[in-house]
Amino acid sequence: MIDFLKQYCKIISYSLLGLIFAFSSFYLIVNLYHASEIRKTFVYDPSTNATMQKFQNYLTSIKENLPEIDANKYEGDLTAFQVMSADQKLKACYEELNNEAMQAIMNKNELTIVDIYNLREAFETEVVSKCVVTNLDWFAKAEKNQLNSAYLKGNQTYLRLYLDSILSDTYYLKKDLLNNSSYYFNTSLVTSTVMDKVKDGYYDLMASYTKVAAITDELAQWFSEETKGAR
Amino acid sequence: MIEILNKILYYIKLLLLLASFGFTFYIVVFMYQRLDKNILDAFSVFLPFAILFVMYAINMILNQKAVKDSVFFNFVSCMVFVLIIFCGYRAVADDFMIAKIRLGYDINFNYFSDMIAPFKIMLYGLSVADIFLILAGVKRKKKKVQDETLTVKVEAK
Repeated sequence: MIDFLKQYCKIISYSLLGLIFAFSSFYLIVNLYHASEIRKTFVYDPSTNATMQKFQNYLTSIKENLPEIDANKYEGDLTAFQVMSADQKLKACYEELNNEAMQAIMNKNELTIVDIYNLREAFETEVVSKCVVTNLDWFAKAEKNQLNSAYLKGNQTYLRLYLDSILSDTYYLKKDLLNNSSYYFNTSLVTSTVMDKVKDGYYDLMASYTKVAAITDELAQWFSEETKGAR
Repeated sequence: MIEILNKILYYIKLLLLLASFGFTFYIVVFMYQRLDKNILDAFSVFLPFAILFVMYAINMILNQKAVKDSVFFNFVSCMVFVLIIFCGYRAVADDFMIAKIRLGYDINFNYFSDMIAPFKIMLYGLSVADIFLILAGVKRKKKKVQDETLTVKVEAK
């Protein structure tokens, strides 16, 4: 009887150990896999990447359209204060678009998830907060009798909708990027949505950056036409 | 060969137990500090380590061969501790996990707290397996003594 119980104890003990072995192997392998997955990089060449080129072209165009201005020489509908404000706001937007995180990825050939996170954070804190909300919003919000220009009169509603769409453009990416620190039980669905966000994140973010650069360029071109004599 | 491996694993598991406890203690203390919680509330996290330590001490003091000679037990113990150390290391040093950057602390508490429950299950499991191994290895000494006295008596007669 006692021998039987001893054998029984041995069976229970080794069954438990087998379970713990399976459990620890699973966690060890899944952790190794997760660690390697979040280290995946996106290799690209900023000088040939079409998305990056498009964005850089917009930046060059904005810069060319915003040389030094003398408000006293301006002879259009806007007041000198409005001319100087518009000029400062567009120039500030150019600076925000050309932020540190963006310059960092322009000088890299290999992007990691951390670069994408930094670029998204810069989009929220620099581009959305300082450029879109503080500066570009002014063009959409200014009273029509205050900003007496045919272009803005006709396009303010469109501008408003466009800027509103930019504000929440990358929120889902932020959520996805944060998810890369939790994995629970791995499935192919989790892998595709949570991990390896570098390439997808890059293109999503560049689309948002390009959107802001495009509208800034559009406004810069209008402003350049409007203040032709004052340059 | 297996005997040498078993001996190495037998002693390494003790070192790994201390290292894994140290890592867990370090992270949990900082985590509770951040949450402004009393460290005594983390008793349940450290309890399985303490139980396992006591079990190992008993195994060593009483020189229990059933545990000492079990390669599988020693190997699984080492594996669990390696896992705890690896997860602790990732919580402290893996800069690719965005939550670590986002939270702004040097330790990824978010990740480590996810792992605490599986650690507890595995450590308690090892303690229970150890108890059953001890029970399986208990020798019926009294009966042997009785048998020996009987044979001595028969021989004397």
